[in-house]
Amino acid sequence: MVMDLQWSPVLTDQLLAWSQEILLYQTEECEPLPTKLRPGCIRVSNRKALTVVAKLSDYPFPKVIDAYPGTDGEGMIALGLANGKVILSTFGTTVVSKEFVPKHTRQVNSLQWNRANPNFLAVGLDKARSDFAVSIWDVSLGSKYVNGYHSDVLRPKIELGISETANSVAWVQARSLLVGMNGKHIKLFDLRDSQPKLSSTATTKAVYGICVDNVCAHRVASFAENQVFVWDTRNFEKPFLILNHSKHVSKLGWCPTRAGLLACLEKDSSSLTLHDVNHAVMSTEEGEPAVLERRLTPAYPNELELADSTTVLSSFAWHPTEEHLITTATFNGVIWSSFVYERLTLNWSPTSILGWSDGKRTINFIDNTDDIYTSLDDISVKMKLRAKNGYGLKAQLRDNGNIVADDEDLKNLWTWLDFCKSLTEKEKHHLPSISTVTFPGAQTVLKMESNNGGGVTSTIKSEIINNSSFDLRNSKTYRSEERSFVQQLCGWSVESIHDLQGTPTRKAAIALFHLKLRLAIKILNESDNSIVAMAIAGFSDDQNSLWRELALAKFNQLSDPYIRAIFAFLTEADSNYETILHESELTVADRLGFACSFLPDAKLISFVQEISNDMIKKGNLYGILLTGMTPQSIPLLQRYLNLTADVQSVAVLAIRTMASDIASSAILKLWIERYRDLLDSWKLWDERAEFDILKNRNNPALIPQPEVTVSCNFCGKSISAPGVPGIGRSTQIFSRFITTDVKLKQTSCCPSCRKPLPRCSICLLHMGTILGSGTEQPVVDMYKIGACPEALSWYTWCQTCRHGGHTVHLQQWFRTQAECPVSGCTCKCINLDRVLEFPS
Amino acid sequence: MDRKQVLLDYVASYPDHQLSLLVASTTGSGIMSSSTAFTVATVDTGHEDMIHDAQMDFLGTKLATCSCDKTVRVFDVNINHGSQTFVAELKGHEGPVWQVAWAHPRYDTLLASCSYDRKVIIWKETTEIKPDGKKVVKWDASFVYEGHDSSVNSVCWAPPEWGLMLACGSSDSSITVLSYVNDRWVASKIPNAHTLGCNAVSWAPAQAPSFDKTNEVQPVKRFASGGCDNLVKIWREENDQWLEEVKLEGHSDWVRDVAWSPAAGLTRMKIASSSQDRRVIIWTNKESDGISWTPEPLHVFDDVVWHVSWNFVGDVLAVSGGDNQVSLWKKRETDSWECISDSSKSCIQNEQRTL
Repeated sequence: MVMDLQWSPVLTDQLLAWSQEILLYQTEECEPLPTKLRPGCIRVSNRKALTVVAKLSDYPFPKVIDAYPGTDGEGMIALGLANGKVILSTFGTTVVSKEFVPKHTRQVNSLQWNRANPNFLAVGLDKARSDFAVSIWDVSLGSKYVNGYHSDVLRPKIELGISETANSVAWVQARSLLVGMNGKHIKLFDLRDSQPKLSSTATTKAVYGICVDNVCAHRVASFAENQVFVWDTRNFEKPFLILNHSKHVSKLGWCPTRAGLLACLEKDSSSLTLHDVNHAVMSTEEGEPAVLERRLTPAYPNELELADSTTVLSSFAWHPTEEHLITTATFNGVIWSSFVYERLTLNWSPTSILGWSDGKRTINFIDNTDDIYTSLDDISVKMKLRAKNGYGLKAQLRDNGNIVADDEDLKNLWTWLDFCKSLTEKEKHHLPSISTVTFPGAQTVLKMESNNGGGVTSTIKSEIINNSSFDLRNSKTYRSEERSFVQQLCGWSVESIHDLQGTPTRKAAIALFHLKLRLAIKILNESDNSIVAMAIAGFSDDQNSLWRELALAKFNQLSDPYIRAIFAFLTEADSNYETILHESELTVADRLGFACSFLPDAKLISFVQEISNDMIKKGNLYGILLTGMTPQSIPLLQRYLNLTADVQSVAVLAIRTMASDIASSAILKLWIERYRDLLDSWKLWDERAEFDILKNRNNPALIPQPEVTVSCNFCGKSISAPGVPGIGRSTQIFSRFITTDVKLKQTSCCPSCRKPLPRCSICLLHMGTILGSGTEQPVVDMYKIGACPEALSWYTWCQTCRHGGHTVHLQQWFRTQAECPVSGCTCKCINLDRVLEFPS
Repeated sequence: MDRKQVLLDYVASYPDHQLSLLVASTTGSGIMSSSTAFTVATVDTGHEDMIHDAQMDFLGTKLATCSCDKTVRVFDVNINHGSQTFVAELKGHEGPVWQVAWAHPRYDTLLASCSYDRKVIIWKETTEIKPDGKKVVKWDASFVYEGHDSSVNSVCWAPPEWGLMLACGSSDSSITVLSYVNDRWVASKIPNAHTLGCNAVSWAPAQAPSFDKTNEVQPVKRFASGGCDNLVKIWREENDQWLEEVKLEGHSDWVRDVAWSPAAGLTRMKIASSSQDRRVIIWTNKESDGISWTPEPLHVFDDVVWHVSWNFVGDVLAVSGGDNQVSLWKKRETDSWECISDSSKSCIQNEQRTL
């Protein structure tokens, strides 16, 4: 059984708990659950355990106890007894060190050491006629308290409230005392003078359990029955807050490590109520002040058999220094420590760093180098790595695929784009439908166009071939330039079946779809599928043959989708080929290739449309085969983006394959902008610049105008070129009349007003003058610092004082000087511009 | 279904802030667990009281923290190298500082902070070069907004595309949008935005909200707010006025935080809201019209949920709760939100949770 408990204010790893005897516990680290602890060790949390270090059995069931807060007390405690005696005692000795006895016997209701001045002990007693209710003792007076002798009775230093009851006492800082009196008032006494002065009184029934918020000393709480009152001692007439509880309150306690958090225990309750009064607004007009209320139920482990979440608590104690720690006790003696957590801030930075606060001072961070972050599979981490490797910037489309080799879909897409581009280059002159497209998909090749009714039409005309001479059976195939181009896009080519990618069964299936049964059997035979080969060899076109019956019954059970497709093809009766076209385990390319051979025009178009819609819905990148990199692919890529958040891939695909569409598509622009933002936030500025270069390569209109020009001091016009500056220059017809850089160097006056250009502050020659050779040797090898030799004769100037001269002259000057060469200018140019720092 | 759950058990008593990673995969009834350890980078902020917010800037090089001790502190950090340098302590608030926010670096280095003292301060960094060539970084309050009648609880900068624009939510039930026009800060106030007070504001990313046949939609300035009326509200600018576009009802207690998914380039808009009612709701706007929002409950937690924060691409949500746990949630292909990791001080509670 535990009646009450208190953490030692000095030795903060010691806990006092008392009922019929007073126990002093020592905290120690322990093995986490579910490790069993050695006997005598009581677990109070996952990592902490208590052991009894001392015991005091002389005073059973003390009314109140307060541990001495001074550092010289050697674990001294003050006990208030039912007979009015106050005992000062230490552990380790059974001898009473000091005893304060009132004149009249009555119960001690409350006692408290003064935390600011540990010599003072305030004691609140029950009523006695012509005796005081409050006595304040000064333990430093008289003999030393641990003298081994008993009954060293002294007079109290101060006495208050004659013939009154003190329900509770509490110190406010060093020299003020709050006393709950007679069940009617809380009085605040000023004890600075030798004569105590009543400074203010609050009339209230809430005179019990007065406690002062140590962090914010004018805030005081007290209770009566089921109400908790919070007071501001500066404005003591009326309570600052009244907090109603459903049951009677038995104990209050302010959190000692944080302002405004009040713990409150109700009678017969298994949980504590925590009131956060910080947000309460001191105002009458704004309605009820906002008080956050939380309940804390100790989370006992299952191993603790004596207590669960319904066990009634007897008391609690805040830890004086450790943040958030509150220890609770139950009537059946279980002590358990819980943490009261603060609002935990949490922010995810644009640079993939997740930070959250841990207590008062510390912020924790995890970033993408942590294992836990890897387990998140955060695409931004992948994107950053890919960006660093130059994803999307490689000249060969195929090479970009190698950077995303960990994502097979993306890798295949880049490989296919490369293939598609070269194939289209080769064929675009034969096929009008792809003559303007770089990356056509099946939809483009087959000239599919949406009509107004939402359907799709196409103008392709295909040749029907009846393969009657074939050893398989009669089957119609269709052929057109467009169809065979689509098949090539699908990677189908009957001439080189052996070079095809994939398993032997895929090769066999494709051979068969080219109506080469013998070749298919041969391929299967050469791989370890000879049993299948044998089964196929027994093919019979007879609708009622035993082979067909058996094959139809069994082929669905085969695991290899291509063997299933082979049997589906051979047993197909009505040329609809639904089983093959909707075999989801076959690649889109193979299904499309098949459809191009065996479906009539109308069916082919609707099949392509159907499968495109399906791919778009799934955001499946293989759907690009159908849409090509045309505006039709945008919904598909958007869906892919929505699913994967991989804005990088869609942005680089946009600039690499849809450059001409960017200008007209807000979505493409958006992707590109978002990706540029990403690169910027990762400080991958070089990559961002390269990305911009690629983006603008096919679109000179996007290239920004020159941003900086040197203008003449006199007329304000640019001295560089009267014509159109920038990229257009070389294409101008009159380019030879325009001042080039070479000519500029020889010009020492403004081309507009013919006034001289500024002088070099060292050689006093005008800007644009050719430097004489021989005298000006470069001070450093300019190649080392990445500059070209011509740069030496260029005019340069300080960004701050705007004085300047020839680079080589300034270099020589600042080699020994820190100040500007212009007389009277005190600008420390070279210190301001560390970029020009010379290697030593 | 094989549901894999990664739990982080954070043991506070460890001086080196070690985290042990508990991987518990619940297949049927059994719990298997393995454990690896890794460390968390920590920054000692030197605040004297509770930290209320910590924000990294856009480039991840600066950290601003604010605290109950009325100050804002700025650090230069390099999380990867574990280095941190204290730069400045910004004093000017007279009460606990609730939140800080960095402006986009395309503007000056600006930091906004809001406090219990009813003020919003916009701090500006200036670099001064001393005669000896040393750079001295100075932080000054460049603007103080005192138009609120009660504690200002949240500040959030608008996407840089809108210019310098700051939303501030206050306990006086109003929201102010401050914008920098013609070298002046102009306040546009939304009175009575949330009865009893606004707790959080979060801007929508600047993007064309949808693509339709015309392929061009006028970008809309929007932000979300959450408050003590248990509502999440979405505000839209129209003719220089802020209109309540939609009111999202779903929480049964104060909304503590809202976070608009940054969602780089995604067309589907997404907002996460967390509440005192212990729930997190993900609101999605599939039509991209800004009006028809579908609520999707993420999880019911054991305690109040303080904050929610999206990662930069908006596919993982971090949640911090009153039980001092940080958990990370990601949407799986099955369209259900799954907790992928979880940090806490109490191992036992976690194990109970996984059951």
